[in-house]
Amino acid sequence: MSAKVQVQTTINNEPVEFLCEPRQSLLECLRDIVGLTGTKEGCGDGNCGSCTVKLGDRIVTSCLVLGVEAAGESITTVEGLAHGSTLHPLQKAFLDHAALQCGICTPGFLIAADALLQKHPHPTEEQTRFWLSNNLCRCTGYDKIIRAVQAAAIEINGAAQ
Amino acid sequence: MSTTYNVIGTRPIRHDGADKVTGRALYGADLQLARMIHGAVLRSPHAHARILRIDTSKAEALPGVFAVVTAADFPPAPADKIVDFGEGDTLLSSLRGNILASGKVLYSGHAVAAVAAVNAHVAAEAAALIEVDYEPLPCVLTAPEAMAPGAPILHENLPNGNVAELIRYEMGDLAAGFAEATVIVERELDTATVHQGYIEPQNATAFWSSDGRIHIWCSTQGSFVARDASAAVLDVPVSQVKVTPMEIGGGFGGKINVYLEPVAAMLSKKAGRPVKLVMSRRDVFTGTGPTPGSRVRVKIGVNDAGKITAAQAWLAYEAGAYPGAMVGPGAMTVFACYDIENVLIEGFDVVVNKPSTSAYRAPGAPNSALATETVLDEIAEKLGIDPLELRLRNAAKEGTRRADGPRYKRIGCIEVLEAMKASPQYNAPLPGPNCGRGVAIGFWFNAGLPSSATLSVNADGTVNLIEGSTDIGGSRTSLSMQAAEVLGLRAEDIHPTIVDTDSVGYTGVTGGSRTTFATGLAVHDAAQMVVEQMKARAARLWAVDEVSFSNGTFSANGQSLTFAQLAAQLGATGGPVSCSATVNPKGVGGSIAGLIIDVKVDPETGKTDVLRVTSVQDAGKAIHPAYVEGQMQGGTAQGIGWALNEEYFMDADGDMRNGSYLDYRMPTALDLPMIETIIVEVPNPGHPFGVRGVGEANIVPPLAAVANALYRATGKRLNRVPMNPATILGL
Amino acid sequence: MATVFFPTLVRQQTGGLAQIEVAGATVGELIIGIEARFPGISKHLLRPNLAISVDDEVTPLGVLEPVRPDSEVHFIAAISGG
Repeated sequence: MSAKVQVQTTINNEPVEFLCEPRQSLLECLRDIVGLTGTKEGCGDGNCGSCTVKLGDRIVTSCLVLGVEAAGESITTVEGLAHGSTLHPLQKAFLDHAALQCGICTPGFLIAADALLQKHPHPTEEQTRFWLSNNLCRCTGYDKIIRAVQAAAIEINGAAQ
Repeated sequence: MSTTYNVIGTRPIRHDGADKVTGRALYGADLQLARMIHGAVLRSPHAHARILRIDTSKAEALPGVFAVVTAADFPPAPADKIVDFGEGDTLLSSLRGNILASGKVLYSGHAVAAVAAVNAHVAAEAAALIEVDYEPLPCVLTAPEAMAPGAPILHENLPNGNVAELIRYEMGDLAAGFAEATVIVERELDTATVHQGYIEPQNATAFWSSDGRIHIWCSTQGSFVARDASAAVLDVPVSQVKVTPMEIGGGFGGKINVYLEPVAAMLSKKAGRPVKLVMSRRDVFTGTGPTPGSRVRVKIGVNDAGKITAAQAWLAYEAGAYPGAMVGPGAMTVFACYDIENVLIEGFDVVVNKPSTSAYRAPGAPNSALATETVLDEIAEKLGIDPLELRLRNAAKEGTRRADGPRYKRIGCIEVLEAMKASPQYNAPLPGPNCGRGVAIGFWFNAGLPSSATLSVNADGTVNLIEGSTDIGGSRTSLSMQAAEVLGLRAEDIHPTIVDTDSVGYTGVTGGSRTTFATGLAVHDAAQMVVEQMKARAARLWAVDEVSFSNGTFSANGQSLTFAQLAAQLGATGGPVSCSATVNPKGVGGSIAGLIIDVKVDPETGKTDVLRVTSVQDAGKAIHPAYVEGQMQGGTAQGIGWALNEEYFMDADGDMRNGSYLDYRMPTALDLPMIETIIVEVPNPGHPFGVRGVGEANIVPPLAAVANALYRATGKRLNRVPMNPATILGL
Repeated sequence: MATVFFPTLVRQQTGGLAQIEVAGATVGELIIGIEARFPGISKHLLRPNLAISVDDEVTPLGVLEPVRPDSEVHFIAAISGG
């Protein structure tokens, strides 16, 4: 075991400090050290997207980022999407459209979709599918996820002009 | 029949929804316990080898290691002991042998030893320090090779080499039937091993207490099955094990078997601490049960009128390392959609040096339907008949006898075919060249099995539902809706909780498309008991003999109380009302599903684009249509992945070369279009609301529908799944 | 008398006979009757991985399931699903 490193970061708009080993992934740090288990591990090699979080202004698969790389950064996880007890429009749309079955991929999809809607306020179906193709869902066949994201886009940004 | 419902057929928000979109829901790997340590499993690099020696001393000496276990730490399994967890019978020695190998390893990925340490990194380092001496043996990887004379033998105790079981169904006079035929088509098709692909890896946390009780937390399709299987492997009474089911991240049949639970328990016993084991994705691919690869030969004869006169099938399924390839259901479903007089079906359950297979959504049925439905497509073309029309002329219906013996009760085969014919997609033109449209149908039995539920009335007029069916896709809500319908309440008035095995009556797995049917029946029965008890309270209150109940209101002699009003008076009329029901039902209704798929094939690259899909299925009665659609869409997507891309790519030594999601290519959002759904409702007479399970039949048609679409697009009849670019281009 | 259908592979024990009419009030009683005619056959009918179907429904009661004089009894592969 190697010596632990102190990491100062901001998670979901709150300052957070944690101690981790240099070899620990950001995903491990979030889940096992900070206790934010909403971010899920599906593969550990960046291919399923379940561990997607926002790091600074980009989205990353947190299993491929080291915890120490988060020093000084701002991180958003699924736990940071809602405002108090009010769900984010994407979260509400996922429920309204039955866009989850088992729910394990949902946190990653929500973070990725949130970033999509910030970049493309009115994404086409093709744009939505392309953006979310980094996130695997095995239950839904994606249909209801795509519909939920597009409904949330209208809820957040109004109908496309 | 035009029953009107208040709740059934509506689309309420699922009860666990808020927890699952905010990250609060706790899945197996999310569990944190005081003093918990972490495990790692050492797996065999050989597909077939004798274990000569295991030396764990270096691992045990590594700082931070608490315990190491091998098969030698487990109680021996008597050679012929059979265990039955309500999911079919298994040899205890197979179950035990798959959990930790003893004597021989039978596949690359077979677990050999496990370590518990202060964290997962140290556990993995320690596992790598375990020395295992192997004597590699020749391996055999496909059913035809394993059946051939001189093949390496996996188990010395099987009577027929590597063939663990023979299945044979015979009906009528096959030769006479083929003699009547004017068109006969025979084809042989292979399918590759594929995985359920659930996103959440297997996990288990166990604590073996000093009082002898074992507490297991895991992601499982069946907490009672996990309890009973763990108890059998550990050779302790079932009451000594308590399983707390965590939220489950997909299963599709693959999370019925236990892999880690007994190992975590044994590590905990040695370490005196709770031990958590979580599989890596590669462990999931190589160490858990995929679904069988297969070779299926089907020969069908029809007369000029398009009536099938005879049908013959030969099926060899790869069980993997231990018997149980699901060839039984493959054989029973191969011609199950059709009314055929003269039939011969032979099935072979063949062990090979691959991971021990497990159930995957209508297990066995997609493999066999692929052959039948592509042969029928070819026959329709030869006869110049619309492929759906050919199926309609032969469709099974109430009273049709299946080759395995029983006759159908009411089923929706004709209705599904009619809905396919009338669908917008089937009546739309194809967009251009290199495009093709395929259709296929499939059948799945669905299961009954025991289920239990308790309903407790709250003074505010809501009702708590206690149940034991783990919720993979919205079953808290489909069950609550059935309670609400009986009680005249809203779905939101029911508060469902899934509890551990100490806290509810025995409940079978969330599998076999049975939860909404069977646990739904338990909920329905408990709700009717609540109504009867509430009626008695109202009768006491009003001093009358007879109280009626409808639409949530109790009434007698002009007086009435709503459910909530009476609930508020329970304390004063005799105390709380709480009712439990356990069912072990018959009356299971099978489901027919159909698929229409349009594809476009790039003639240069062989890449297939899926243009349009319509999934049709008989749900009996759709309790929550959005989640019924979700099942249909999910099964369709999995079937398309199976058809076009997914496969275990094994090298000659039996090592899986694509054990990651990068190389085991499941469909992404970009690979699929919207999936149109048509829910057909032919009520199941065996359920008070007419429910038929919808989880499985939808994965049966896609393999064949894709094959038929590819034929129309390319002119080639492919004989191998996956029908990836290499197969399509004949490379 | 109820009709019992023999699985194809069990017909070696019955000299090729595919079905038989037997008297009895339960599946168990039918099997006692069949065993009397074909000694040793019951172990081929009551074995792991075979479920009992009475009147076209798999019965969780197995040999205890009541049968009527016009009942059909089949022994089929036990299945559950995914």
